[in-house]
Amino acid sequence: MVRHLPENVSAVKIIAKVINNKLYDILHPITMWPKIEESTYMHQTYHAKLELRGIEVDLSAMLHMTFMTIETTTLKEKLIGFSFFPLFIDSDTRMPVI
Amino acid sequence: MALHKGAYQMPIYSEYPPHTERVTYENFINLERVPTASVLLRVAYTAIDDKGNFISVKDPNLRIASMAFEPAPEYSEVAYSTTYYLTTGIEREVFKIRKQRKIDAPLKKVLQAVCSAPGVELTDDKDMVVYFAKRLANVSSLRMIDLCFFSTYAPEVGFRYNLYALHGAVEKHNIFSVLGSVSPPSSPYQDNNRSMLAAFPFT
Repeated sequence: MVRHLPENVSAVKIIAKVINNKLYDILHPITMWPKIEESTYMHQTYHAKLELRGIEVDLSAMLHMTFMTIETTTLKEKLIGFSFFPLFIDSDTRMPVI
Repeated sequence: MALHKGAYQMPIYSEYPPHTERVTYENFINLERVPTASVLLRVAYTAIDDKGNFISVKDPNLRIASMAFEPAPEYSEVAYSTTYYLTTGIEREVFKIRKQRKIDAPLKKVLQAVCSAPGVELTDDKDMVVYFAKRLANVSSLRMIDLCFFSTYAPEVGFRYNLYALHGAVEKHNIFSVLGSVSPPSSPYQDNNRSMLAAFPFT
């Protein structure tokens, strides 16, 4: 789910992939679209699941998401931004692997 | 090392990290964020069936595929860690104001408005997603969304403007008055068929 989006967004397309610390793709990108009936334009729900199975995963792996939309004020295709999530932590420090 | 499992609320950044030889989480934490926006995600070990076999959302058997997806907890259950998402005082104020203004609207209504602007009348959800997918197919050269856009117009709230400077006002001792005119389109005032895409030209 994406929450409290800017007020000039419409449907937000998410491209999700897993990358390593050299920005190489470990898992090819998948595209996610919001569930229209369950979403408002500022809070969009996806019910999407990304599965990593049968591939070699680097400990520096991060989930990488790109968010894009058609801007309602200009009706042009626009980039909203990016998000990242480190998929592994150091068991001792409980901090992300760097 | 361990899987970073759990439920997390993550910020959405409006800039990409500087290109260095090795990009890690430390490169992201100081990036500029899209104000108030966040994404909820969960990380968990793979799902297994009654016999201990791995199951996938891609399983051709829809019953098994549905078992591979655990419904998300409600945000109000405080199930999502905000370790990585620290809001500012201003953002918390914006949350309150937005709640009072009640501006959020069903996504479908906004999508229909976007589709109808160029004359495309769509009502089916799948058709609308196809339309958006075509429009957003080429993502290599997208410009950033306008983050200076403050809010949609709400007639009951009205609006205000600030005058920051007068240019070319060489007679500093004179008194100046400024005349401005706003040309509001009629659509925001209509009870029915109110356009969500109305813009206010200001001169």
